[in-house]
Amino acid sequence: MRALSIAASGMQAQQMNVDVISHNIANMNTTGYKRQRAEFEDMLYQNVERPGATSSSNGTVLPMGIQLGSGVRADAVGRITEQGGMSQTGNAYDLAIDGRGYIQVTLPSGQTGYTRAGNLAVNADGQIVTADGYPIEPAITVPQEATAVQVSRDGIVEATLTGQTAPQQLGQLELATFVNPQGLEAIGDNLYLETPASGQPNTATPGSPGVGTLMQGYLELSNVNAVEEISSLIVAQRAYEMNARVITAADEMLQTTTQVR
Amino acid sequence: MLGLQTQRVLQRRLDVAANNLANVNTAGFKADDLITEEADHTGASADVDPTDIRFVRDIGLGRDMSQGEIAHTGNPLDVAIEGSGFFMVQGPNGQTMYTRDGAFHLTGEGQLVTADGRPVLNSGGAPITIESDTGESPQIGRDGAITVAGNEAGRLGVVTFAAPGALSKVGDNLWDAHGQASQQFEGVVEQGALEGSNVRPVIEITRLIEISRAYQSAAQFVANADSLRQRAIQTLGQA
Repeated sequence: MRALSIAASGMQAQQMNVDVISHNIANMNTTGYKRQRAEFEDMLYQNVERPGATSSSNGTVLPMGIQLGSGVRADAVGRITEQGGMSQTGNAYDLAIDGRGYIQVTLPSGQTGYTRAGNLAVNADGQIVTADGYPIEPAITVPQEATAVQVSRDGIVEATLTGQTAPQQLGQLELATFVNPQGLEAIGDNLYLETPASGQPNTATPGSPGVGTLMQGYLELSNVNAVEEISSLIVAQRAYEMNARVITAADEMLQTTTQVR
Repeated sequence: MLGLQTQRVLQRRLDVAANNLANVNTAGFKADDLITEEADHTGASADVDPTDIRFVRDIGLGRDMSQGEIAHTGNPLDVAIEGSGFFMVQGPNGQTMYTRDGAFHLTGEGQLVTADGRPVLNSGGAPITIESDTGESPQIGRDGAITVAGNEAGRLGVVTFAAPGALSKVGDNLWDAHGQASQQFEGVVEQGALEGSNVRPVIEITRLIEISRAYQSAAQFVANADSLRQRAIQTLGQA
């Protein structure tokens, strides 16, 4: 009886769906988080009678056949890279990206990571780093005597130094864009890595054509929509129950069979 | 024998209902239904056994081709078809396959592909590449025309069939047309939305109850026939 394994595949798929939804809900307040979505597809079909097969020597064909499916499987967990909302923080080192692009981060391994989480800070050496302490690229160092730091929409970082009226330019931030940002590999800590699926990064200054701009004093919220996630959770849970119901029905039928005298 | 045939058909019916319910969340999935017919069982010689015995057998799968509900997703690469069309997709051996699942993605080279990485084809049957240097997400018009920053990047190949029932499902949300001629779809596609599965859970669950009850009564029927035969042997044996 294949109904048992079909229903099991359905339960497995819905279980994974719940895993993805719970990850989204858990990251509802994660800066720059992009929600994920499980996508499903039907599995192989067994052709008992193929539609279009010849049904007589006169050349008549079956208008429809018998194809028995074998269940469902997950084919992708896609990331929806829609812009998240903006929240004002007033912190000079909080940068939200309005539009496309990722801030580049030098990882301890020497690799370049990419992030949308613009909650930056300054370390003991005056370097601008991420919340995990990884320096951003291009590296920018804020002098100790700086009293205020301004970041323009196009990424120019300026510091006002004590005893000087004109601000001093410290450097310009760059953003990396990808042809297929969904193809980036998430490695946790709000970081992504480049993959063959994402394509090569294109670095440009913020505000260049096709690249977002920076907003100082704001953070990008996660793009998880609580109402949507909860309703998907209900759908997933009910679908799970329905598949369990199929298992019960198949079990009852098998029981009937074994009781035939 | 009739009872066994009924049970065999019911098991197959359960398999179909199980596959429908397993795919209750699969984008663009179309529900199946097993169609059965009454068939004559003729004895070796009609004179010997003139009684007309009829039994059930499955003759085909009916496919509910009705529209699944369209849900808005906000993803610019999600496309739903309103109406009877199919997207054209390049199959594993280069042949054209069809799908209703419009959850598309881009490759690192900017090619439009399905979640399995199969190229989505334009109305001319060629893969679609979206030049995304400008970084803008593509706009897909209601006729399937893709524009990126004002430049046309091709038109999604959406076709319809005269006999959609003759298409067979091959898994991975793909359909095979077996060479049936297709026409350009004249309806509407919608960007930022996905078509859900058209499986109606209430109907499938009701069917499930029906199947298991019918199965039980068929088993009962077999048992009754057996005890009848037993009694006949006993009675006749004593005589």
